[in-house]
Amino acid sequence: MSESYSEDNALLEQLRSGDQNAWRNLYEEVRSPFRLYFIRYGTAPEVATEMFQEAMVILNRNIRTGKLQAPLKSALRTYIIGIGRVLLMRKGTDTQQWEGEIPEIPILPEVEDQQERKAKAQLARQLLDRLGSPCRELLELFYLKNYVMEAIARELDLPSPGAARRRKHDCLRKMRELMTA
Amino acid sequence: MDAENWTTEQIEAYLRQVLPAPEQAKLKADLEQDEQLRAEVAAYQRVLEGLDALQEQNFRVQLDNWSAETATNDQTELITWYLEGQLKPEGQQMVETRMAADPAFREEVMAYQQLIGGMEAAQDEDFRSKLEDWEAGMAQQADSGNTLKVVSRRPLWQYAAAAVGALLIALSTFSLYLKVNYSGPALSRAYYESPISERTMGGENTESTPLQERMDFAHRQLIGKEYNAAFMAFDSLMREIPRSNLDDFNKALLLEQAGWNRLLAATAMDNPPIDVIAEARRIRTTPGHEYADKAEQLLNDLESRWYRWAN
Repeated sequence: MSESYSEDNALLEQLRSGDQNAWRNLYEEVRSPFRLYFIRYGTAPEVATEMFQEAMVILNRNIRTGKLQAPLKSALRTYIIGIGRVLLMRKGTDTQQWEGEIPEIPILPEVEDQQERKAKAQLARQLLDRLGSPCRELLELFYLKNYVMEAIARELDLPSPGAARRRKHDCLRKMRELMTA
Repeated sequence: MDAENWTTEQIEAYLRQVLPAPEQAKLKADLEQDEQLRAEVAAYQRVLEGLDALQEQNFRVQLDNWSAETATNDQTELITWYLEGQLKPEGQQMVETRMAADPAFREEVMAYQQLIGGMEAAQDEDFRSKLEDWEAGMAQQADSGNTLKVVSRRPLWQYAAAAVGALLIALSTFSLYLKVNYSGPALSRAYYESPISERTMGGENTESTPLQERMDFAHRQLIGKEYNAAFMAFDSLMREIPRSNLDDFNKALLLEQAGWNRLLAATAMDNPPIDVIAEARRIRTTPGHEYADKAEQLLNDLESRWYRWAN
């Protein structure tokens, strides 16, 4: 099958750049079909909603880390539902008989232990809080809000995106040094 | 190359797997050799994973906010999926179990069932009214201002299916209308008139009687829908009338009558042996022809799209 998913590929780039409107639109567009897909087979509505939240988090992670890249092998909606199925299978639900409704199997997402991720987030927050305000602000803009370098330069009144990039790596190094300090 | 020779930017790019392939391979090779570099890269990995996890936490908060804004219709959505039959047996069972356990939810389902049932009834009423309009006005679109507007929760394909169904019924009704009014036999019947020979051909001419009998017999064949036989009879009369010893006036009158009825018989036939349109045109343009006006009307009908559709 050689479907191109050109619209979804363009959307993927918007999502990768942290476009909040694109994320919000995707959320609203896929939420209802996702819930219907799972509720149709008897999944409790609350569970379906939780699974959707989790699937969106995993999608976000896979995009951010480059695990999901253009050209897509399936529509984003299919990919998200595919993540939901993996989550459900890991809970012990057999979804094999549902195969016909999702013709393309998306890349299997890595589902990490939430506690482990919480601990990692906590460490990062502590390190950021120990950084001086300019570095903290810059790293938050880049890593937490997905700002591109041009936007960071404008936001922090830096002379150029290149200067913002150099400053970012200086700050990252300081953060790393704080780990062993 | 030792740990100090790799920049933060390169190490981050390596961990994100976006470092150019040769550098990626070089750093990987250095990592195998250099314990200090391994520790350095591992430290950066923890920092980056921590930042990613923190971003994810923020994203979760954002999702929770969006969910709170969009979840208000979740129950309504669930109920309509159930009532519209969109759930598999497992899903239906889940909803019914919930209804049994939660009287408030059950009440909601019942309320929506009434609501949707009412809307469907209103749609049926609306559709019935449209059919009546079609029957009365034949293919005239009902004035949307006079129809009951119903806000429906049905998916688009159901509207499309209903529209296609309505269209098929309308087409079928319209087709029936055309057959009844514009088929060849229908036109033949509509334009047929009782013979006028009786008022013109009396007992004053002895030859008129056998011709009159043959003419009456041909009319009975035409009325009895024996179109082929009627055509032959009128055609034969058209050849014999000029040779008769009738006066010119009666000859002309009888000939015009035979010609007109031959045309009606041909109009009713599946494969008429004459060109009916040409013949109708001939009658229409014949000066003083008794049936010229009728021929003009028939010609209009024969040349109409309704006649073409009906035949």
